Amino acid sequence: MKRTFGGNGVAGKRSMSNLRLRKKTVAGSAKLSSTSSQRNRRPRAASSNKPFKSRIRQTSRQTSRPLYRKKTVVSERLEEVASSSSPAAILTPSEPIVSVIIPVMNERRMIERVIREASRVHSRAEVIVVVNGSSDGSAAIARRCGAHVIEFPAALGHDVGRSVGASAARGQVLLFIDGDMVISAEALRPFVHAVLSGGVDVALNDYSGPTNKKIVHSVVLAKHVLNALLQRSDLKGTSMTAVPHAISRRALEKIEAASLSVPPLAHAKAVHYGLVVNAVHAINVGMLNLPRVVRERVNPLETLIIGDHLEAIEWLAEQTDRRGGFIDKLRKRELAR
Amino acid sequence: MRQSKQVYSKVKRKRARRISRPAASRRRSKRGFSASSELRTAYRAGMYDAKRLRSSGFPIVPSDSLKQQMNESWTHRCGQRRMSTVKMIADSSHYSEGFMAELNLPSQSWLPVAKHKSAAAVVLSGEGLNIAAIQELRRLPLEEVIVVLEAAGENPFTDIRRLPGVTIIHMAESLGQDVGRAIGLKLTKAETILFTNGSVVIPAERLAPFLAAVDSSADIALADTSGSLGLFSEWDDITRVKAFINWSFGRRDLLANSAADLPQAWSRKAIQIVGAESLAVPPVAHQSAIAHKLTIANCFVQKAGVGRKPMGPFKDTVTERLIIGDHIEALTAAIEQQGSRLSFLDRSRNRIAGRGGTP
Repeated sequence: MKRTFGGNGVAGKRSMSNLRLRKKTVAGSAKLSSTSSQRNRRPRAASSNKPFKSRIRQTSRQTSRPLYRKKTVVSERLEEVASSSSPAAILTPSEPIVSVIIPVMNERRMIERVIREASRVHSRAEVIVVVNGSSDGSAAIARRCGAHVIEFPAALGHDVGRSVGASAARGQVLLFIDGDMVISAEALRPFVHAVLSGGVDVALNDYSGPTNKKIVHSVVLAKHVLNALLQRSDLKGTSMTAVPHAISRRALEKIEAASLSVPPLAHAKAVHYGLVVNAVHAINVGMLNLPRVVRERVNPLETLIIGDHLEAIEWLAEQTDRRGGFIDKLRKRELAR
Repeated sequence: MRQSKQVYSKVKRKRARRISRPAASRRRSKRGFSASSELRTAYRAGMYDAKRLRSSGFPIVPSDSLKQQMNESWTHRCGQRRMSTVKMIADSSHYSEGFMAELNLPSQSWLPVAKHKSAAAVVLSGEGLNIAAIQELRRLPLEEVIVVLEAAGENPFTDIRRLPGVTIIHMAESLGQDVGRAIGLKLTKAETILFTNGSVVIPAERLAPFLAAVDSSADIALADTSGSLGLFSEWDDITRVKAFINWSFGRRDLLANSAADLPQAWSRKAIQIVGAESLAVPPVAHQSAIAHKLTIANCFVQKAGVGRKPMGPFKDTVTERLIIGDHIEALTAAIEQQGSRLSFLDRSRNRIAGRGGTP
């Protein structure tokens, strides 16, 4: 029974036998999970990651290589395995209080740990994983971990998964995190608690980006400016663009799930509608962000987020008088004509 | 010398032989001085030009017409070199000293600026008017100086009345922030218009580059604040908004320079393009100038830390709120012209799925 796997992903008879073997191991671990702690529940099948460890930076589907195809085959098999033996809806309680929403696109190397931490934020937490445009078996891993998986074959685009997840959420608190960074449950709890018992509607990450320099990143600039235009300079550079953040159900009803796809717009709505928006706890996500070399070259996030902020400012101006509520009564414009 | 030439380039030697010019004339042209060696310094040049002016029979009294005459000869002397470098400004003040010394007149500390178009200054001021600020303007070759005095008492008014050649618009009540720019503009037909703040003294040497820039090539000359910005964490909200506006209009090189700041200079052409009335809301004029792709020059005004505005959190005064509102108005105007997200389109999001539909 105790055969070591080749680890080089060679297709053929031998690897098939490995899969069968793995299936058994997973089933065994599922039995174990009912009694043992969650940490021990991590299935052995995760060792299938090993042959592909060299592909950590792989982010987009365009750059498929022969190795990639092999892996897809393996992951499909894994899916079969997972569906047959997943721990039955452990992370989807019947009446959840906290819904953790994780948009995912090809995050198989992180997703398991992310889900594990997310499920620990509250005793009645549901984990919703919105898998989109993934071909690396992320969905299978998420299902196996017991998360409620919503799957889209095509990529939805940046942050659209938040809207999808929020529409499906049943909890009183919605916690948004990313699938590509592991944040411990201990660090996530302050956000949930601020909303559950602190009277906060939108609990933001107190992270403003690096500002101790003359020229900052444009996104940092935009976040500061949006808060200033919303007359909330005290929020500095915090924003719903950054994870983690938690919102109350009341906030979700006011700002509507669709706006969550454009986080600065959701942020502007939350502040403008008079919801309690506070920065509650600092997590330096700048340090945790993965370098996305390929994505930044093909589809830079920077310009997308600046556009999002402009969309938010446009919305703000529409709600008021073109001047964002900063009234200009003293100016005698008629004299200037 | 001759040997080394032969070693380094045979081709050159051959070419030089073909030119049949005496060695002496070649040497003279290398020196590059067309006129006599007396004109090597700006001071002597001033003396020379003054001598010629006196011999032409021009009335020698310290008047505005003498200042214009001096400026014309300086412009002529500068020729195509119309850069406003530090050296040129130093030269022009030496020229002016030499000019006045030759005419046995007291030095007026006039500062000639090489320019070909007429220029005027519009000074915005109220109760806090500083006469020294107007006196600095009088040193420049401006055809007109128009002071817009808003909500000011009699004292500042009588103070400026003593200065010759200054037009005053005196208003009992306030016009509102920056409306004075548009009002002052109506009174002049000059080609280059310099806008300044009457309560801040800026030496003429620092204002001259604004005139020179607009006169030569730029449509607008803005005060360059980038040297005094410091760390982003210390910026105030208005500075941040200005920087964001420039960034989103595709002019991140301007950093936080804005038409909302004085001093600044506009060409008549630029004013006609953006519309004189939009100058009453400077960020809107700024947006319009960038949208029309006008040439914007940045002129250094002061050293970092000198006379720098205290930066800090949003102070929420009426004026600051007004300026923030002006910038939102500018952004709204840009969005109306160019669309929701300006040039930062969202091509990747599936918004139907976000709204709950099936993708």
